[in-house]
Amino acid sequence: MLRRSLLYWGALLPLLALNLFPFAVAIDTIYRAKSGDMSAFWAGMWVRTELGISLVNSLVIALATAIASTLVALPAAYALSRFRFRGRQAISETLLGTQMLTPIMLVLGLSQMVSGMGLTDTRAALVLLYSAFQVPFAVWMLRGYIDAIPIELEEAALLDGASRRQILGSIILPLSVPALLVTATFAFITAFNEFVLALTLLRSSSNFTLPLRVNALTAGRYAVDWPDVMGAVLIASLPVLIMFVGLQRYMLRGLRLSLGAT
Amino acid sequence: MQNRLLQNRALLLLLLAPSAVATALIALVPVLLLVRMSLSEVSRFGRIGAYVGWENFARLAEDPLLPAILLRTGIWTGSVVAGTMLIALPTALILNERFLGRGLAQFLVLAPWAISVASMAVVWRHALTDEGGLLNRLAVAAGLLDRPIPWLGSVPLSFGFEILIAILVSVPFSTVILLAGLSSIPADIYDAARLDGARAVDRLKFLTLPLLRPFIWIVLIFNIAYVTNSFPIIWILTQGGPANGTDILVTYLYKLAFTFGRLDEAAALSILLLCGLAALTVLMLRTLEHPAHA
Repeated sequence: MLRRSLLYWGALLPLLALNLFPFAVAIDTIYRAKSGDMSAFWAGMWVRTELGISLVNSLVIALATAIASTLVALPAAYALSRFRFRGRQAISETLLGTQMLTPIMLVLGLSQMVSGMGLTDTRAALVLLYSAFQVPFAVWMLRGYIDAIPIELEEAALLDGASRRQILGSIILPLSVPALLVTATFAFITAFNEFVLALTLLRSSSNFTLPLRVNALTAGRYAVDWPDVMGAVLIASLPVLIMFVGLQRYMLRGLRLSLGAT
Repeated sequence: MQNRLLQNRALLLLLLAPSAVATALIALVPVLLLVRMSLSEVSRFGRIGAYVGWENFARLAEDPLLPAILLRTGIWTGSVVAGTMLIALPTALILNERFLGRGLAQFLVLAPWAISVASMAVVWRHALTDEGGLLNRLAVAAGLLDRPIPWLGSVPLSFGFEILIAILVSVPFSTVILLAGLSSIPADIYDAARLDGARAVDRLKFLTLPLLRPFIWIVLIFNIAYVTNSFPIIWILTQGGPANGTDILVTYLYKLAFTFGRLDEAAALSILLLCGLAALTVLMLRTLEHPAHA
């Protein structure tokens, strides 16, 4: 076991080193420039980069996206899992197809649409678009889970005289909670880290999300304060890293279930 | 009873409606707007003017930069997808085994997923341009370099690093999908194969890889779609420069639209990209429907 473990770790080492390299660069950059009082650096960086407001923006947008996309997707996932109807196959394929749409190729049309709605430079526009882009994936994830809930449960409840609403509320919803959490986590991560739409739709610095803030600290400037930038990058990565520590097992299991159902 | 549970048209429509609206919001409205823009004159502020027919497409066809960019997009997609696959498959095979510290290894493999691609690109840009930075110090200390160099100085080197970073960014997702595929393979068929005297190499070649094939296809197709459209790495590292030397279709599209203000031509280019994607999607659905012939 020990020999095999060492062998596997050795084989993974080059990839792990490359993965950790950006973190090493960030920490190295900070410590090379700032010796002495590190808490003064972090506090100063926090103010100079206006990181707080971006962190709030990103968290609010990502959380709203996670909730909205999951709630919109759940009924459709249930319908596709349980109902047998003409066009079901076509809907599934359309969903799979839309999953391949990326924001960049639609960015012009999207920005026209958003300006037509009067939502340019608002966080609401990002929540709307992120949620919509996330829905196909969310439907697909949730459907895999619901397929795994035995339909006999519902039939038994129906025999006992439960209404459709009761079935949805007291059987499907509680049993889907883990699936909802996993699906919402994926949506959160995607929205938290999105770049192209934020770059195109946001103008005012007070609306910037974290990726946009990090970019704005470096792009088109003569003098870049790199330790500040690296500090901001590290803080910006923390929320999702922490989620990974706690949730990676559930995320993998969720994907497995959904892939199995495809 | 089956009827009551499974066939209720009004309820069905009600359940599907929210997702249908959301899908229309990204897949229908913007596409129609793009079609309209691509066939009209559009001012640099986005005001849609007179109908001009295929003129925007004709101007794109005459764009002297486009052939090289198209070729570079092909090289970009091909090398990133191939590189990702070559790393993700063995990584998933290893992570599917039992060994000490597997949870930690898995976390470190997934770690790049936690950083936004934009931040990742910013850090790499600094690492590659900072002459006193970690990369140069390591390279000098290892005897690879006599003195620090600016890594983003030449087009081939810049593009090479952009490919490397894109691979690193794509590996976590691909590994996760393959890992999900691997764990769906029942363990007892391996036991049976082992009893029959199949060696590890044979088990990999005749059991694992064939059973994994649908998942490999999923990874390939999604990576092709995502990598062709991956924008932040090139945008942040080199903005497609120097002299359009690292532009791919999507960075050029963004430049056309938001740097040069040629929104109508950019819309035409978007439409062409969408057609390419549609073709890829049809291919994907065919493949997933008939995995045996894949």
